[in-house]
Amino acid sequence: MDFLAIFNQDFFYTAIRMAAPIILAAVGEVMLERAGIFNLGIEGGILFGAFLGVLGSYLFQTPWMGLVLAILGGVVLGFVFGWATISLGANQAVTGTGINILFLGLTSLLARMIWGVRDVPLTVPAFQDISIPLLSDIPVLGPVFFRHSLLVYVSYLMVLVASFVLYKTTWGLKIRAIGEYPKAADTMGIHVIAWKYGMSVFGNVCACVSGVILSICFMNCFVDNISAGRGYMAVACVILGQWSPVGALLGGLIFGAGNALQMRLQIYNVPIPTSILLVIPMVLALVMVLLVRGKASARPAALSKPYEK
Amino acid sequence: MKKRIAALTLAAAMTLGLTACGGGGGSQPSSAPSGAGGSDGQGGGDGVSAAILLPGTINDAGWSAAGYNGLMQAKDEYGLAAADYSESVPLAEQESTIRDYASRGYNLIIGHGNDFLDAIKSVSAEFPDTAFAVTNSVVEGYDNVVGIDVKNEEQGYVAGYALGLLTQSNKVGFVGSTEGLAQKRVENGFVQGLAASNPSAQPVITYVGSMDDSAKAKEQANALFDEGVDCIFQYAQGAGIGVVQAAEESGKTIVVTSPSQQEMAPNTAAMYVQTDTKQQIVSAVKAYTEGNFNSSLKIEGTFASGLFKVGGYSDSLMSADVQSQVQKVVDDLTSGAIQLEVTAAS
Repeated sequence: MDFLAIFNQDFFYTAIRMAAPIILAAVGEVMLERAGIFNLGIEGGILFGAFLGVLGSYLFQTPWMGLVLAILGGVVLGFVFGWATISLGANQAVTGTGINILFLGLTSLLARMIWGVRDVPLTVPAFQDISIPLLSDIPVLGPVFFRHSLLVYVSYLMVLVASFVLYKTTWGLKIRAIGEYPKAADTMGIHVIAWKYGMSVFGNVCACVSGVILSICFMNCFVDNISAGRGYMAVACVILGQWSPVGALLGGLIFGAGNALQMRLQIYNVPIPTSILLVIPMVLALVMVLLVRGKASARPAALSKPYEK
Repeated sequence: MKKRIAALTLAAAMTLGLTACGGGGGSQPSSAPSGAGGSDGQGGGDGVSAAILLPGTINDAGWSAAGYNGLMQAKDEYGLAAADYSESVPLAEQESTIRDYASRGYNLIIGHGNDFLDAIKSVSAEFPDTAFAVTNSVVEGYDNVVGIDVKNEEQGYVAGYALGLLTQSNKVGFVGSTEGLAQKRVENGFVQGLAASNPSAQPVITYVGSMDDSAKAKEQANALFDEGVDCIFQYAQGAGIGVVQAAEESGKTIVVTSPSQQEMAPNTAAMYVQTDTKQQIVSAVKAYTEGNFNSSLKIEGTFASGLFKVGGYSDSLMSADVQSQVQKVVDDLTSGAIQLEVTAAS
């Protein structure tokens, strides 16, 4: 067997595609954690967004309204999470876990209330893949990079935007200052609470839009627990990527490539049990974490500490 | 102080939300069923309440849906006082869920799948008056535990046989959810069926690693198509919807597990091979209501006992000849003319 044959055009296409929702959620989480808030509730956010995406597309018969509804949902969720963790100073990990459990049940419940218990889920209009003119005709690169769904492009663009904001603008400086030493930031006249709320909203909107990618870009329906652990992977990517958007991108790509690899190893019938192949993405991530741990951690100093004046 | 009250309110709201989810899962009826428990629990369907524990969700169009539908139909037929279910029961919560149902007075508790066997065996001794049934299992030596032996191989065999006749590239795919015993048995039947109809075809076996991740299942199916597989049998439970969509979008033939899935892929779904656990669960409920529930009770899940249903032959994908060949295999399995190698539980 020619082992290298696995790494063909389709492999890279799958890797990039599967990485997108994780990357988007992870970039949102990077910004949130840079402002000192640890949101473990991404998984719940993704589920919520996936559900709202289908709901909006179902009600208005266009995926765009699904996206709008999911963004609105992300804003609301951001404020609720912010209220609990910033204003009330609740434990961030516990609040996040609560959100995960709540939305796992709530989205399934609402889906069944609205659409009934169905053998197969109701399908709604979804975003189609967009071939970018000219670019998509480039041999090899075109099909790999330029034939994705709109929100997949958005996910990768968001890495650039977040990097730029975080490192090249005064906004980014403020966010980083808040995450490292909020008291100093406060003395400098930065409205710490408002920025934290802003990042909570941004992070949760990213998570919700990540859910939209799953439900009405990759699929065209809502399935119970459609997020299937991607939120936790996103949290892992943030740590893996040492709290930088580009790091989160690499983390997401490791998961995407790991999955694309294990899927093909199964097909090539390598003499390794499937259950071991299935954990390849997680093993890759673990190895990477151990590798990057050697360096000084870039963890924001005030992460997950509630700020009180 | 104000903050503390607000935090408490929030916590209360979240707890309420949780309760709502539990209700959605149907696992927490507001009160214990009437006419429950005691030595006079047996006899007469009116007072009987049954519960089923499922490994997946009730809308997976596969294994768990079959168990759920079976119990609901048994409820109607026998006028059960209560018929409840718990979905996606994780391994660590199996025993506590079973114990919960038993102590609330449910008479018949069904674990849907071999995964539940150990938990049921260990709990059954604590509740000698409660009847337990486990699908996909052979149970001996327990007075109140009955195994429902499901021959999953037969389901896989028919799908493999049909796809062996339909493939052009001689590469036939199988997409399963997670590698449990039931899945493994379907897979083994599939390989046997494929070899029987087309010895030169190569089975390509893959697992999604999840019962829900339909997006990942879709990628898995597309990866199969990329590698030259031209038809698939999907047995990936809730995630399988992704496989169905991938097949329909790329115009590749697929064998599905329910008529409703076939409606989702009208152009590419050649047929369905469905599990209809109703008869087995009805048998368990019937035995219980008639007082025949004991260690000598044997319930089988086969074509012969009506567990599997095959249908929806697509005229555009299957020639009349192919259809009759597949139907002949179904008939032979039903009559017992074909006997399959059975996978042992490990």
